Amino acid sequence: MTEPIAAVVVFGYLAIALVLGVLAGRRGGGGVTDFVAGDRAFGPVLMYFVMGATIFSAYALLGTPQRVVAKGSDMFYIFAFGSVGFVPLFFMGAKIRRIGARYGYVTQAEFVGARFESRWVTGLMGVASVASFIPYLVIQMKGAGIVLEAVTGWSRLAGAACVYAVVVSYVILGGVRGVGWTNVLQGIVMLVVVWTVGLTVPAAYFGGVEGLFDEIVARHPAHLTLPGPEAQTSDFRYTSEVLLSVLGFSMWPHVFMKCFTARSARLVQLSVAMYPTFLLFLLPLVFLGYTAVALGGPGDDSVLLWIARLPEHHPAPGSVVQSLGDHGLLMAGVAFAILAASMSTGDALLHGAASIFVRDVWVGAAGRIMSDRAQTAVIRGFVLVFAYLGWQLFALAGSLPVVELLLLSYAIPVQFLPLVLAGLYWRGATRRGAELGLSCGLLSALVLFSLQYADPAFYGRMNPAGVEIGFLSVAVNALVLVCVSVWTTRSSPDHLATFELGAR
Amino acid sequence: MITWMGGARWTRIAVAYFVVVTAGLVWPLFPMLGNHVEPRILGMPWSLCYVLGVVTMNAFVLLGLYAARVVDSREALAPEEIDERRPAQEGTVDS
Repeated sequence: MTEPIAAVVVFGYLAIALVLGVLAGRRGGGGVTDFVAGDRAFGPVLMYFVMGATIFSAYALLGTPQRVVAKGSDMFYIFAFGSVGFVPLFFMGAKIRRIGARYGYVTQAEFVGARFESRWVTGLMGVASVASFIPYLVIQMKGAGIVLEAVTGWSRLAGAACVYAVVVSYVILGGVRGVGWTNVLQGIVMLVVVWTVGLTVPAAYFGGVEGLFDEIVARHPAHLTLPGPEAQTSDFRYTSEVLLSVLGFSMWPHVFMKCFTARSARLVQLSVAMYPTFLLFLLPLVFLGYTAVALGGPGDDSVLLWIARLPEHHPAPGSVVQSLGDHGLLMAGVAFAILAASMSTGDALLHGAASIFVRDVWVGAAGRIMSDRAQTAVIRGFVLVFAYLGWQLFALAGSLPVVELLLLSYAIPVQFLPLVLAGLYWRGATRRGAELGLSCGLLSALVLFSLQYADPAFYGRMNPAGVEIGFLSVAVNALVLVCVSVWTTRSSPDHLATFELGAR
Repeated sequence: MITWMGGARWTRIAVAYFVVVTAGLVWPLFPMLGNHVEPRILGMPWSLCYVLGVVTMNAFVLLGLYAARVVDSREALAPEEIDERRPAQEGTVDS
């Protein structure tokens, strides 16, 4: 063990998470609605942490300080999109929850497919959702692997396998309740550790946050405004990043489907309103990123672990940080927080991917008739399958940068936005419009991604402004949806009424 | 009373507010309003304070809208209005 104290903390935490997740799953009815949506009984505490901890992933902990070091204030785009990204769910969430409860929907694709009376939409959304989860899951495994490597000296693959064996166990045995209650634990851990480390480290080396930024203003001013160091982020690029993220944020299927878990429609709105308090936990990570800039830290995703070892290479005698570092507690805290972040998103992704695959693709699109009990059993099996698939991909793609992987995933969920908006608020949106719009949007994203990697020079000429691929493809999607809907027959008034689209 | 104005009107006002706020976070408004180091608040650069200010402001606006029950505050339909039949997945109307 390279960090024995941290190892004790990490393995102790894994044991507690396992017990908590399994015990939480012993409550509830045990059917598929319970496994996927917790019998629609989540209260305010669970909803708050589920929404917050699910979204704040290993990417947030590893990627935030990394991005500050590499691109400076470009990182503030996370605050920018986070401040409005969840807002669509404030307006739509109550309606989604009401309709979901009335007709028994537990996934996003089920809901949208039913509105458009289309198995194609359900199946395509299901497949696309699972495809978007996989790179995101790889990021979480990478985070877990990095922590276990630092703490135990094991390989990243072995570390990720150990952590995700625990995650798979409590997701299979605990369902969404297991995910929810472990998220409460993980959310509290993240908040406490990140604020403690984020305030004590700048205090030890610069006398506080003001001293830290005095240093940055004097020596690294380019890190404080756009376009950032080496002029990497143009206004156009920043705008494109923010808008794409705003549009796609609330459309992540594993987040959207949490609307179905809330005890009431109003609670969905309260969770959205409370969400920005969780967003503020990124602030100490920004301070840590600027600390790394000032002290010459690395520009890759090891920056947080570099900070955990600061007292070794940048001694700060007499400080709290030095004391924590000398006793191995700084590394223990950071490892604990990264692991919590990785697991709190990884469990929701595994649970979501398996639920979506079975409910939307297997049952919804392929039309397999399965009992409630059989569906739950198959979902449990697919949790294991997707965990193994993610781990295999991590073995192949573990060396890819964290942030780019996430941006790659973002092109898919944003394709669901036109269908959700049109489905909820436009009586004229038709089945053919939804099917063709979604198909064209996803196909455009796939073609553009392939082109970007196969022939970067040609892609650069075709998209000289560097507009995000998700942005281009969602524009195609919305245009096709509207144009086709205008020319095709809409659903019956009775059907529209079930989605609260009454005659005007 | 806020509800005196009607939920639909408040929903439109709220949507307009969030569109304007989003515009303030991107080009061309953000470079003018937020992309500066000075003035610094609590030592933090203005570029950071600006986005944190928007986060805080939006939280208060959302909590206000929630408390005032002006955006889709219906909890559920009356029991007699609830239709437990699930809508057909594959329709025939426009096929």
